[in-house]
Amino acid sequence: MELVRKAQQGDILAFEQLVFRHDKKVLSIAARYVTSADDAKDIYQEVFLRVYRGLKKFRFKSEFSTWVHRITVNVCLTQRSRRRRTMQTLFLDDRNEEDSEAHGEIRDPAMGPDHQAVNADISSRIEKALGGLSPKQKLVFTLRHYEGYKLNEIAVMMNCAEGTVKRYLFTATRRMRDQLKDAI
Amino acid sequence: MTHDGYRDLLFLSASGDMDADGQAVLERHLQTCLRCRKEYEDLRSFHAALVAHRVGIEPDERLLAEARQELRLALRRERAGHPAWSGWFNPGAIAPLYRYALGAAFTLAVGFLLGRSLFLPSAAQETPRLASPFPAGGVRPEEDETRITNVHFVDHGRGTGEIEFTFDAVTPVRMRGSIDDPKIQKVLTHAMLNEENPGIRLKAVNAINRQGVETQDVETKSALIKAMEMDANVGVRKEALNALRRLPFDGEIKKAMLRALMSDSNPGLRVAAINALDSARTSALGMDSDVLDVLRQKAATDDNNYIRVKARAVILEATRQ
Ligand SMILES: [Zn+2]
Repeated sequence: MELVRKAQQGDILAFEQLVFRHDKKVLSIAARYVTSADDAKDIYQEVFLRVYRGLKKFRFKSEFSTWVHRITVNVCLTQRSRRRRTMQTLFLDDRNEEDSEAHGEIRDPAMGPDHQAVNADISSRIEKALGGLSPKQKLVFTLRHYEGYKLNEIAVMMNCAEGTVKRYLFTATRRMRDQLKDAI
Repeated sequence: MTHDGYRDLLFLSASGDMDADGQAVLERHLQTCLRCRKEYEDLRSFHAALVAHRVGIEPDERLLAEARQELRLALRRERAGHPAWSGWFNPGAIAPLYRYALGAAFTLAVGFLLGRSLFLPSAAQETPRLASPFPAGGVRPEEDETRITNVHFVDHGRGTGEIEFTFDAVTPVRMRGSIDDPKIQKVLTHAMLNEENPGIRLKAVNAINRQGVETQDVETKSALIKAMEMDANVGVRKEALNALRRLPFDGEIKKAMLRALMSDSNPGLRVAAINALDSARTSALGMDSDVLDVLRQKAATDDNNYIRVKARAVILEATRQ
């Protein structure tokens, strides 16, 4: 709170401390959402530039971290729409992704059966299964299970209905279970 | 509710998203339905396993360090007020216009910026003599020392051949003084963190380092720490680390060295950080569990052979005592 106020008054050191305090989560959300490290860094940078520009307008109506995560989700979602225009051949449309079980394998060659057999370690199996989810499913799954947000909070962040969030979570969970059924 | 209708409830309950009413309804069904009870147990153990094997909460350290450094650059551009600075600014392209303007009898409105390198309100107040770089009479400043930016046309000619425009001229200001002078330190630390040009940032750190600042000045120290952790240029980071080694070793410096050792992308800098920690071993805070934890991690995982060996050696040495 104190740091936020200082940063709002233009204290750059305070702003950087704020960044250090929140940026790991931002980067981990971003890194799960996109597949390349460069894209994750782009999202990270865009998020904190928006935080920097919008800081003066932050009115303490929510937790600072919630605000930052909401911006993160927004950036992820708009980033996605930019990427989709250029990567349509690889990314299936959202409307179909729920039904397309083969979709994960298309995007992530590391999910092949050989790799799975070699790598029996559960944590890395989970990591790989996450990699097989669609970006939105991954985002919801991450926010719910790793960041601890409630479904209605995620709906606000993603600017969609709670039912939609539920559907993403259901599908993500079903897929994860299928992928991991012999592991856990 | 149909049997399938309970599937949603099972999901919600297992992931902890169920309210009390829903839970009661579900519990009643579970008492009578073996299939749902089996499914429910599977789901719960699945979620328990997820929690037990939480993956990748912390992002990759190197990625984080890179992201921070890139953000630092972007913020520097943002603060300089030139978000697209590198995109359009080309002094060579503006210079001919500048000469043209000065060579003829045009109306000039000159805005002087105390400088991207010196834009410190307090410094400006303390040194009012810097505020007027152009003596009366409009003597032309050294052309190659003045940078012209933000050219803005007020009037594109009124059929008279005259035009009017404004621009910011940034002229280098010479400051001379002792490195112990807080004013000088302020300018140097500011340049160290905010200059666009890595060469200038390096010189600023150099100046502090070469003179062997004895200062306990908190701002200088924290600026050095920042430069070591965040500068995009490894030369600047290294020089900042060297300057920090001359300061009295304390908790802040220790933490900074640990962070550098953990996450700097450059092995040379990680080596320098481990050496700094090693030579501080005899000090009161030298070798606590924080340091040992990081060293153990480095001994096991650093991809640089020297660092793994060195980390092991320092641990051995420390635990022997
Ligand atoms: Zn049932």
